[in-house]
Amino acid sequence: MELVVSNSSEQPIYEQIASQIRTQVLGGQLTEGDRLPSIRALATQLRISAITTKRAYQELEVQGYIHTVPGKGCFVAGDNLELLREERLRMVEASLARAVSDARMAGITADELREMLDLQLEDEEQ
Amino acid sequence: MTYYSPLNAIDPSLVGPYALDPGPCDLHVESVTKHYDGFSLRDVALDVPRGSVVGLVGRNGAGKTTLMKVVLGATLPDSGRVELFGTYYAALSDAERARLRERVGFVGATVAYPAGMTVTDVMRMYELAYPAFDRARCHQLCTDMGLDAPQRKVSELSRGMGMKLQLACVLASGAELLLLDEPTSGLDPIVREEVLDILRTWMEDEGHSMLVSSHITSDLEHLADYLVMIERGQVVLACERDLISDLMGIAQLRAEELERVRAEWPFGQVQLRVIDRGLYKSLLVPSRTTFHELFPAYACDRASIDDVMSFIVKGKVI
Amino acid sequence: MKALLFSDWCTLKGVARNYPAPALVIAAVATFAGIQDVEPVASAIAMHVHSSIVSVGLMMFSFMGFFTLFGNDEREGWEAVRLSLPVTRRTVVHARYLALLILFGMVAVVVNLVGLVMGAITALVLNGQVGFMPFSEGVLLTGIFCMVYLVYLGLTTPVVFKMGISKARIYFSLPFMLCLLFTFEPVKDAMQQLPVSLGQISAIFGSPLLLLALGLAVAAAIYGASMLVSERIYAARDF
Repeated sequence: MELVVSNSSEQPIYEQIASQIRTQVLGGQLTEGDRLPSIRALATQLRISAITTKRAYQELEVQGYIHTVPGKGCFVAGDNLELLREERLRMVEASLARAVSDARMAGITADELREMLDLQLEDEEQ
Repeated sequence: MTYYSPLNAIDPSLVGPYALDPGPCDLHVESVTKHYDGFSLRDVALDVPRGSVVGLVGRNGAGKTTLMKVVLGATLPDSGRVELFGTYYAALSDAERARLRERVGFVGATVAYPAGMTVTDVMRMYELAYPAFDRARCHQLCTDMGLDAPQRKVSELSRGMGMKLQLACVLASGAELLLLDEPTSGLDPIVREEVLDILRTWMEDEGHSMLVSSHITSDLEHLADYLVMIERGQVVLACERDLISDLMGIAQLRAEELERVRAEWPFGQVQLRVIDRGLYKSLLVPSRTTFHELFPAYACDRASIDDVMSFIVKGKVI
Repeated sequence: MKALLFSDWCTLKGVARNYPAPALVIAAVATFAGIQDVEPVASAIAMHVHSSIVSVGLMMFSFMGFFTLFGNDEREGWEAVRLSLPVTRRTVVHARYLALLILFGMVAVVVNLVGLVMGAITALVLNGQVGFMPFSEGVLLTGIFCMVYLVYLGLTTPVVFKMGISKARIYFSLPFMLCLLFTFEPVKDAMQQLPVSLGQISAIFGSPLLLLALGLAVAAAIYGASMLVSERIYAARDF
């Protein structure tokens, strides 16, 4: 697992950690049963407070991405397809919403936007 | 005491993630007051929850060292209570007190051992004082830290080596609560980082806790879980360290912009602190998120511990 | 307790090397200064040398030890750091009083041995015969110094625990000044007028050694009381 935290990002550090782990779970780099570093080991490695890592792990646990086995550590939770799919849907919707609002600000029309989307999809297929 | 948002109730909706229950406290200081000529500690409260690092910051002369001495028992407070591991310290008998202090280790700003002692002598002294002292661990720590001159006199050690010796002895003593008074001041950046790494690794044991007093706030940014700020003998800030970097910010504003912020800021009980920089006014923003929502056009940077300290000491409340 | 005794031991070890040379020089001077007045008998010569060495040695080493230990306390804030160890303030006081006793004991043994040897050698050199100070005289001499040591420290140590040695220095000369009083003619005359003399008192006791034993008991009681006083003083001190 690789994690990068930045002091200059606007995102709180616990959120940076949580979202990177979320991305890795969704993207498959972290799979069910993978063991995560302990709260404190992670804090030492990242040179941050253990409360920050605890907060990140708590959020991930509440959202169902990881679960803690007392005495053993934190593990990536079992595949919950519904959850992952919804998460991915949400992410795409958010991206589209952002694209639409950006387009509006730049004065791009709806048709131009659809063209751009088609081009993008074609590129992906190739 | 609970660790609360600084400047009171920043934004109730945001504080949620920042109000994790600290759990049992290894050190509990309550209403400690101590009067000296020209300086007093007044009504100081502080908690060190088990498994966490509390950073004590403040200007020179603000009362950090005095507070440390009260916690150590070297100075007796005029009033107030110190509890170690849940036990009211002053109510114990001498022998019980000594037994409790076997779980406490202290690292001072200077290497204060008698001049005639060598490195080995110091280790031997700790071994005699702490029943749970682990000699092998101490040697291992010394080797890890590059302290390899067992016959060198402590008066001949460099400052960094002296600090490492203190650390090796205290970390091997079996103590659960560490009290550190300026452990990194006077050290070069490389050694400072080594010392911090050693402390962080030691903290990986959940039964360990630490109170670190320092004026090198950048060290605390990477080590502390909670921050307590002391100014003129009083606690002016006590919060989770993350609160500062995650929520607080600094905005540079023109006079009329500042006025607008003041008028429209939604949380009445929050203090807004300003430093007049001449060409502009600098505002300590209690919540960057709220600020961005209300005033998207005004820029706001993250706040550092130093910034917050400046605003608390020199800022004016508006 | 052991940790504190050990640290005091290290402190003394650190300065011990400074003392033998000047001590021997002064002992040598003291020896030769009065040697012509001494009977040219082996035991008298040996006694003169032995007692000079014991006197100078006990004075120098044991009292210097006292100053070194308390002086070191104030260096670099050692006193405050010492309190961070799992020792109570009472233990700190006990350990110091014990250390000062052990110091005297060790010094007494060493100077008596050195005095014995040097006395024998000097007697041999000057008189062709090996001689020794009579045992009871030796015990008496060491015992008297022990009494003085216990009483002097008993009076001054609480003051040092109260205010640290740098501030307490001024009080140290007082006992010595008291002794100076005895050199004044009026005081000496008054002493002559006393109905009893030391010789008479010791005659009552059957032997000077018994008187010494009593004196030591009193001195020890003073030392012990001093320790209790110091405990109370030290318990209330701020650092």
